[in-house]
Amino acid sequence: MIQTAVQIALWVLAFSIALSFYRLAKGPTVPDRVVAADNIATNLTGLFALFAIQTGEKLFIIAVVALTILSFVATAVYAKFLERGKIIE
Amino acid sequence: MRSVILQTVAPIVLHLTLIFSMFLLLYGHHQPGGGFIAGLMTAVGLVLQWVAFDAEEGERRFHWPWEKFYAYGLGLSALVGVLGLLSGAYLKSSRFELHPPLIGEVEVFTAFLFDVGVYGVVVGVTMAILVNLCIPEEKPEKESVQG
Repeated sequence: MIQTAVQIALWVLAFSIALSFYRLAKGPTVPDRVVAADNIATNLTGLFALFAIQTGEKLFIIAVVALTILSFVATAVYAKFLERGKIIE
Repeated sequence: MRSVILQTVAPIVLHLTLIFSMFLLLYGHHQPGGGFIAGLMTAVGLVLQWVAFDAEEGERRFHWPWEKFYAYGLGLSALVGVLGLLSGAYLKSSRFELHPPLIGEVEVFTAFLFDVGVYGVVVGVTMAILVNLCIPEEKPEKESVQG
């Protein structure tokens, strides 16, 4: 039962990442691409969590925490760069 | 311009990264983890302070000798390998078992000291590069020559 749900969620997240890649490649402006990259990172976090459920490996949870912190910092730095043109003042 | 949201969140994220990096540092003997990724996580949390506040504020909050971090870290890593000469396990890891109260049996490897050295190198190099990049360029000499 849980395995079926995980399978369905994996396909949904994969489809979402594919759509985000389309926006990343086509996006007319830079903020579009940044939001798409952040969306990919968030979906990847969910993908890792689902892998952790599917395989029962604890390692994926550690990867989830690391990826969450890194994607947050990357998005914050991107946003500041787009807004100010300078990361560290 | 001050971003209130980022300045509120950045110290909290620093705590999270420090806790997680300590976990990775202690975890990485048989599992993924270790000094390098732990140092990177710490450096990410510290770099975020420089991003959220400005360089002066970051310098004021974390005015630490980053050069000494990587100097002593590299020395410690080299020392762990050379110390094996005494016990006949040159560049190898020795294993001890400690019995601290309340926790039970704890495996200790000498490779952990190597990991601590790598941690110091990664944090020190990253922060030293950041601090030295943030020093503002001084161009008063050219102007004075032209004037």
